[in-house]
Parts: sequence; structure tokens; C-alpha cells
Amino acid sequence: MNSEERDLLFASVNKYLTNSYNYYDFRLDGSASSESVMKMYKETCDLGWSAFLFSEEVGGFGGAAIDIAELFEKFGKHRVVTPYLESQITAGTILSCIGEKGSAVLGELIAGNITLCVLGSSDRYSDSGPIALNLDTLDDPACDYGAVPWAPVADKMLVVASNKGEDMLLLVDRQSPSISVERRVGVDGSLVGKVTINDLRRDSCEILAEGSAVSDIVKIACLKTSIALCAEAVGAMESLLRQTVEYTKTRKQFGQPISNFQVLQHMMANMFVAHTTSHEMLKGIASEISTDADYLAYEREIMLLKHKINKESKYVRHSAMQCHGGIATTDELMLGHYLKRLVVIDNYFGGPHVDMDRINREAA
Amino acid sequence: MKIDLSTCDLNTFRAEIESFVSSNLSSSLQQASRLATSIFCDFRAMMEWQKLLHSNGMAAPSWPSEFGGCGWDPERILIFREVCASFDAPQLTSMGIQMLGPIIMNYGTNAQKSELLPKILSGEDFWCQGYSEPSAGSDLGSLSTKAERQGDFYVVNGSKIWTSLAQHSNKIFCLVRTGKEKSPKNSISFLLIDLDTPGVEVRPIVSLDGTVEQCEVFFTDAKVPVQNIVGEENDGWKVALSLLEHERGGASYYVSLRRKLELIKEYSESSLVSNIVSERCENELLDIEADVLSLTYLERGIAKSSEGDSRIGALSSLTKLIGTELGQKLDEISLSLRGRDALVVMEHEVDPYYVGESSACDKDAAAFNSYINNRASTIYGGTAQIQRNIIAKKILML
Repeated sequence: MNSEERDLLFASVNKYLTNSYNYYDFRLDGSASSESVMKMYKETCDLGWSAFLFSEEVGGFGGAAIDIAELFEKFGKHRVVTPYLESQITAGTILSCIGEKGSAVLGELIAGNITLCVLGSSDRYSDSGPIALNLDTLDDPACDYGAVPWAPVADKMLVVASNKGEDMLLLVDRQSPSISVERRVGVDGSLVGKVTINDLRRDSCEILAEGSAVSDIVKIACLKTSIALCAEAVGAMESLLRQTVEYTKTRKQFGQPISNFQVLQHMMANMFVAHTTSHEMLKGIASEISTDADYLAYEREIMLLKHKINKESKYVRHSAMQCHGGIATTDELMLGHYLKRLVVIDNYFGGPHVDMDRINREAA
Repeated sequence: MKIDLSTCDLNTFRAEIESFVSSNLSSSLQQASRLATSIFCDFRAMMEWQKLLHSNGMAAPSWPSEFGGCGWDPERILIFREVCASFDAPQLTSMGIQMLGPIIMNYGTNAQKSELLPKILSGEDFWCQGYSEPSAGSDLGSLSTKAERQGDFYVVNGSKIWTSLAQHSNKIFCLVRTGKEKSPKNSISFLLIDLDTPGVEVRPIVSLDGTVEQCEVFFTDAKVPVQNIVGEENDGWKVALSLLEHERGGASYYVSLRRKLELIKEYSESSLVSNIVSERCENELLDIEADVLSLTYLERGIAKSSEGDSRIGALSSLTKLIGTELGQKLDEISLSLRGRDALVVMEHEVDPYYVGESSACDKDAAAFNSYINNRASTIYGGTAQIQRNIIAKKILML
């Protein structure tokens, strides 16, 4: 993809998100349906957004880490509610890593005809490794996967499991009687499913990969998901900073705009430092990664990036709220919705402490 | 065949610099660099390294080759600094090569260029910076050292303070008031003064670590030839501001922070540190590792885009702020790793030229002095608060 085509794509992304997207119209609350979100998912896949996230070898026209980062930065900036991350990035990466066996499903995925989600580990810290399933006997206990973003709209589930000690990647139809999904609404306006698997049998799933290759495939998918998540957070931080600067220039107290006060100026300068360093780190790391093997080589750097984002996002969202005052606590202002999403990003892999612990354990 | 360092590929460049530094850097120079407790390394060691670099044409990587520099692009300059830091080469002082050099190139007369630039490179001239005054710190524009024109001379009266290494210097570049206006924009000039001029007196200030790095400089009817002015009379504020940007931005903080982090990690994993302490520090060091990595990408990005970037001044505030605050955090960790050993005043342990028994594994012996001295890093060159003001005003437009 040359730079002209790239510019064209981002012009279309900007146009779409500015003109046709509005968080309040798309978010899910108690009664709303996911119809507009899924309509947008299909429409934007048709516009090539999903293909931009994949390399040419697997049917896309982008796929470098910097491509993923730039698109998700836009999602973060506009607080886009969408299953792109879970479906296109996490599941899409797994499918694109397993070659021939995944290609038919991947084609459908990139076309936006289906939505996928990945079932990984069970506990709330995403820290227990693949769940042991026994595909050959009937006495398998129910496996509780906890809260899984966008599971209720998934057509298929990718299950990372361990069968008799061997890692496996399984593709299971959402309609399979073994899978049950309790529909819930997420704090960030998304849809979440509480998923359990019961008595999954060999004949009701497709084995996509097994053995030693699985753990690397899952790792690459996690690292790519991290890049996208971090990019989304960076985009959200940018919006928070911009809105805070604008608001403090208009809000008057003591007869003057509150942006005149040095305490607030320094808070905003610190927000700028937090956003800029996060952004440069994201951009720097992402632009050095192009192949799947690069993700493994940059494991420590990507994990350090996530750690950095956890820290800086907390500073930015809390300062933004503090600078705004009472109005920041209302549903009416977008600010709080960025804050909510940033908390979800913090806890996506189990929380900041888990992220930190993993650096020492897995990427020493 | 001789390799052209300005055009060869970057891997070759790195390998060449590595081989040059490793074969020319003596162990006492390395020791001096490891024991440096501020941005200034031991003076003797630093000058020795500068002479060595100069004799190989490498004293000023960032200067254009017509002035005796290497004329390297920003990427090469950073690689050069990275390699030097990884071998613990002494850091050259910034006043001459980093700060005054570019000013002379931009604002100096031809006579000043040909007279002064070669002596900066060779170390024959050692410059100090006369900016701050007792009543003009953060509010630099209120400075009151006066230079009155009398015939072919300026007669200078007043005093400067926090003049780093003035006791080793033969020359000082000063901001002086030449106009009557209150605003610094049209009333300040940039003046070069020989320290052996009658009426100039240097008094050392003893720092908390017991050494002298800072001085006061007093001027009493000191007569300075008018040709020593740089730029136009009353137009020195512009010159001063561009120099401050070199002071803040030209430093690439990540280079020395990375090395410092490495040494502290190494120390924290050594048998000298108890498990409980090193485990506690592990997470703090992780935090800093992430910050240093982000600063690395930030500074590399700025270096690549700096030419023609009008925000460079404000961005240099950003890196100065981040770099100095990170350095201070590292010092705090280093200090807590040492436990009760930090009670003792270091003497021969921090003398790179000490001959005799010393504990070989204690690369972090200078931790306390480093902690004490680097408290100044968020004060000099514009305090951390002034840098935040600049970010708020120049970037966020508040």
C-alpha cells in the first residue's frame, strides 16, 4: 500500500468517524440493541478498514503494527464502540497465523460477514493459562470463562484449550449446545458475555492447531492486541487533553478563565508529557514491527508499553476530571466515557499488577 | 580503504565507533565516567578524553565539517553518544561545544568564528556560562549586570552566580544589560569576556558533596573590547534563548539514563543488596525502564525531525523535564539500595585517579553524591516548573 492510498483510507476513516459516528448513538445501555454497532462493523469492513489490519499474504493490504496502531488511535480518539479488537485483531491474528486451515474463516472475517471472539483463560486475571478441556470423555466439568467482550454477537468462538496436557486451538460454532453466553452490558458501552463451556466434544469443534505452535500463536495475538489497545488508549488520552485545554479556557471562576491558574497549567503540562511520551513510545515500537516474528522479538518492549500506558492513562484521565470539576461526573459529558474505557483497557489482561508481573515472569 | 563515517551504513558506523572507543578509552577514564556524580565528570579525565577525540576529529560530532566538526546527521550523532555511554566514556562539558559553538556559528563574525571555534575544539579555551545572577534566577530577563559603552570598550559591573566550572575556565560568555528598557528583548547583549581581565574575580562555591562545581563571578569596572559582542548590541536575548534550547535539548538524556539504569540494575542484583530490597526495587526499576524507553523514542524522533521544527524550543523543555526527573528517581533507588553504606562520606572511592586498594565491585559508590548533586538538575537550565510553564504557554497555548 503506498502512502497515497494510505492517506485516502485515513481520510475516509476521519470522515466516517466525524460525520457518521457518535458515541451516544452507538453505545449499549440496558435496553439498546447492538444493531448500529454491527451495522457499522459491516459497513467499515466493506470500506476496507479490516483489510487494512492484515497483510497481503492473508488477503489484506496493510497489517504492519503501525497500521494497526494508527487505526486504533482513531478509535480511541472518537471512543468507538466496536468488536474490531476482539474479532479482527485477536481472533484475526490467530487465524492468520495458522495458515491454510484458517483461511476460509479469515476471508469471511475480513469481509465483515462474521464476528469472532477468543476464549482464553478462565480467571478474572487472565492468568491461569489455557483451560483444561477433555474432548474425549463425558465427565468434563463446566468451564467458566468469565466476562468476554462481544461474545454475545460472535458467530464463532476460538477456544484456546489444553487437552490431556497438549495445547489446542479449537473453532466452535456459537450455536453449539456446549456454549452458553449470558448477555450483559459493559461499563464502556460495549456488549459483554459471561461464557461457559460444557461437555465440548471432538465432533462439535474443529481443531485448528495443536502442540507447541499454539503458545506462540496465542502470544503473538496477545501482543498485537496490546498494540491496538495501547493505541486506543493513546487516542483517548489525546481527546481528554484537548477537551481539558478547551474547557479550562472557557470556564470562568474568580473573574477569569481557570486556564490562567498555574496549578491547572502544570497539570495540563503533565498531561501533555504523559500523552506525548506514550504516543512516541507507541509509534517508535510499532514502526519497528512488521512480521509476526517481530512481535515475539519485541515482547518486552510491548509489555513495557502497556505498563507505561496503564500509568499515564490514569494520570491523564484523573487530571482531566479534576480540571473539569463537577461537570466531569455527568453522563452528558464525553469525558467520563473516555475514563471508563481507559479503565477497561487497564484491566483487559487482568489489571496493571498482572501486566507488571508478566514482564518479570515472561519477558525477562 | 578508509571508511567515510558520514556516508557509510549505520551498522558499519556503529561498529567503527565501537572499535575506536574501545581501543582509545583507558580504564581510568572509564572509571572517572562511572564515578561522575553530576553532568560534569572529573575535569582532568574529561579534558583528556576531549583531546583524544579532537586529535581524531571527533570532538564535535554535531558541528558542520567546515568548522572542524564531523558533520554527521542526527542518527549518527545519537549512535556516537550511545556507544560512548555504553563504554562509560567521560561526557564532555556542554558549555563550549554544545552551547557556545552553535551560537558563534549562527551569530558570530567571521573573525570570531576563525579565532574561537578551533580553540573550543582543542580545549585551549574552556568556557563557562554567565547567565544567572543572585537576583535573576528563573526570572532571567531581570538581570542587572551592566555593560556601558566607553569608546572601544564595554565597562562591565555586576555579578554572576552558579557559573559551572568557572574555576577551570579562562573565558566566560555573559548576558549583560546594555539598554535602558525594562523588557529584556531590546536591552540585553551577549558578551564574551576573558576571565583574566582586570576587575574580574572568580569565587568558588562549595557544594553539599564537598566539592566545587559552581562559582560566583564578580565584575568591577572590567574593560571588555567591543568586538567581543556576539550579535547586535541590545539583541542578545534572542541569542540567549536559542542557547538555552541547546542547553536543554542538545543533551539526549536517554543515552546516559539507559547506562545509569543498567549499572543500577547490575548493582541491585549483586550480592551486596539484600533480596528484600532488590525485590522491592524491581518494580520501581521496571517503571523507569518503561519511561526511559519512551524517552528514547521521543528523543530519537525529535532528533530526526528537528531541522526546521519551530517547536524545538518547547520540545527541549519537554525532554529536559522528563530526563532530569527520571535521573532523580534513579538516584533515589540507588540510594535506597545502599542501606547504611550511604552514611559514609565517599573520599578515595570517588576519585578516579586514586591509586591503592578499593572495592572493585562497587560501581555505585558515588550514589549519595549523585543523589545530592542531581537535586540541582530540576533547578538549573530552567526549573521543572519553568519548563511546565513553557509547555503550557508554547504548546498548549494556555
